Amino acid sequence: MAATNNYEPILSAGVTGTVYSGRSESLADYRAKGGYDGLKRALEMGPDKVLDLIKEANIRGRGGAGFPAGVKWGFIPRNRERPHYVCVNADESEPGTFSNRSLLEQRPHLLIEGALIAAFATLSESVYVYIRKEYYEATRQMQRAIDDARAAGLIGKGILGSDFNCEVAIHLGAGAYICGEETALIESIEGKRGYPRNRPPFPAIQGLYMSPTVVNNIETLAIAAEVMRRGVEWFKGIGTEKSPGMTVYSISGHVNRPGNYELPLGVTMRELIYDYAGGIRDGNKFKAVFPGGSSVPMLFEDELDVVMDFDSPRKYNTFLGSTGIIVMDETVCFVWASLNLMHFYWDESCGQCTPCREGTNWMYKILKRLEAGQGVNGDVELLEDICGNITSRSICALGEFATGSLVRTIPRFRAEFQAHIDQGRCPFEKGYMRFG
Amino acid sequence: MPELNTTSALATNDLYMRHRADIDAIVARYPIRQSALMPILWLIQEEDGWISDEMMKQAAEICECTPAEVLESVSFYQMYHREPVGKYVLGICATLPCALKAADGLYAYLSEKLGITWAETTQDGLFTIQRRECLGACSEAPVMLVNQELETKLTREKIDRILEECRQGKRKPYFTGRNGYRA
Ligand SMILES: Cc1cc2nc3c(=O)[nH]c(=O)nc-3n(C[C@H](O)[C@H](O)[C@H](O)COP(=O)(O)O)c2cc1C
Ligand code: SF4
Ligand code: FES
Repeated sequence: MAATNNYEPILSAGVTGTVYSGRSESLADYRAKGGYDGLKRALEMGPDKVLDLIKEANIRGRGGAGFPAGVKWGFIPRNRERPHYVCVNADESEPGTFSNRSLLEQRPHLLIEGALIAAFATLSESVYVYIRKEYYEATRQMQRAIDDARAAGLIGKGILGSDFNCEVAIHLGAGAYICGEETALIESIEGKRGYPRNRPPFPAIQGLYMSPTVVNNIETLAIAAEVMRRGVEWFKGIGTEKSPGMTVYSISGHVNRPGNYELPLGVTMRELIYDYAGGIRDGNKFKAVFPGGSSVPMLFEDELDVVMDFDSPRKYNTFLGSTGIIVMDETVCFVWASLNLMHFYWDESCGQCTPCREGTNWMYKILKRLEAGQGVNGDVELLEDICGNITSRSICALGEFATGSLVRTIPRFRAEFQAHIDQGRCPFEKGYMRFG
Repeated sequence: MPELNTTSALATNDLYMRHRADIDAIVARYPIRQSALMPILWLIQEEDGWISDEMMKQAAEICECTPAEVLESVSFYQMYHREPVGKYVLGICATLPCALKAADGLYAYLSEKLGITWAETTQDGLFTIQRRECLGACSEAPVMLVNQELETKLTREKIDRILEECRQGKRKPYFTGRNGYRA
């Protein structure tokens, strides 16, 4: 077993299963474990010292980019010329990612505490929790927790007897992947289509309602609450030097034990797949894995010893991303898999930028004909060419995300792509389509 | 809770008059009126199952924006319906992690059983099949949403049972409906 095998889950302590298990931590249970003590400590320290502490902890954002939360909070002006806002990103729509769901359903108070600490440190009195509409149970549990916290004087005016006032409200999405992108999320709360905004100005200066705004993933905020309660030293004792702490990895696909696994940053991909997720199903051979959701390039067999922290995957030109790990065994056809995902990006592109709109459309068309056995010579090279051009001149990263299933796969498995043209059909049997 | 100052402006707005307390509470959560649009669209859809042109106009009036802006949002967000749907909306997850676990076969089974394809509704108005993207439950694949309920690790037997429960009215319908109005 891995070096991480003595690790006891913190964020997902007591969380059972991936989807609602009937138990959501109550306010009383949470407080019995020291819940809201972090907030209490923050209120005693004052906003400036809290900000320093979060900076020192180097909590890198769990929403995908790994940007340090303390630095982000530090961009917010230290005055209140305009109201400030905190937006909690619980839109979790990255294919293969389901860790935020479990935390929302089962530990809503941990997330509320983190959000309140973020609001306090950034001189904000207003938090919006953006939850994707499909998360019905998560929404119910979060709303119940908000109501309970308000009744206990943890939300509203004069929180815990201090002069800190803060409101927390849920804003529901309506089925748009792009609204997980922070500026699209802001537009959506403003009652508009989720069109990402050009930057600058950054949300920290002109975000929600043109006011200074922090957008953080809920896991980032959950960690902030733990750090306030347990201290920086504790946090830095977990994970690696440059990627301190823990995260919840979601593992899906062709493994024996798919699920959420909370572990220190620093576990390797091989350990995740074989030690935690129980290896490949049916004794099949491993073929490839998306390490951070479907939007990042795949890793292959000889690369599985990569450490799953924020920086190590970069040496293979891929990323930790959403820590949604999608494992594929030898039965999977890459053209089929890419086609499935390209449909997703084609459908979800907001259409503002030409390279993204046209690029996803072209790639979708080409993959469709390849998989149907109607590809023509040059199609594989054309795909590569589009991948190389889509990332430029785009407002957000979705166009680049659309190439995740192709950029590293085509050079390695060119023959597999080309075989679809040469044989005039997909050479795979597709056992995974059989529905029992 | 501040009430909308609308005695004159919204007195003829059926949507507002029907859901006064809910809409006042929604509006109070935001500093600008247009932010209330998405929650109000959800209110409409929960009642009717879909969002008609007339409802868009009434929502625009409440949110102090134009019907064109409302239409922009209704057509942008995939979960808002611009046509009536069945009493039970079956949202099949079709994205890769589920597809690796036979989501295509699940769709084929349901589609054959009900005699409808993506986005269609059965003649009896009972079922609509929708293609959904990753529902954030990939470890439980294949999955689908039956209205608000997430159904996991689906098999033929499970599907047969779910459809039967819907037919017998044992599950909550997608929309509550209102008097004299056929969704
Ligand atoms: C297309 C797209 C989708 C995204 N979806 C999500 C999401 O579902 N959840 C999330 O936390 N971040 C998502 N992000 C990243 C956010 O833009 C943002 O970086 C993040 O919420 C910041 O939080 P953090 O600093 O705590 O990680 C997405 C980004 C892009 C470009
Ligand atoms: S890159 Fe794509 S999704 Fe992002 S803003 Fe441009 S068109 Fe929209
Ligand atoms: S792909 Fe179906 S739940 Fe994620």
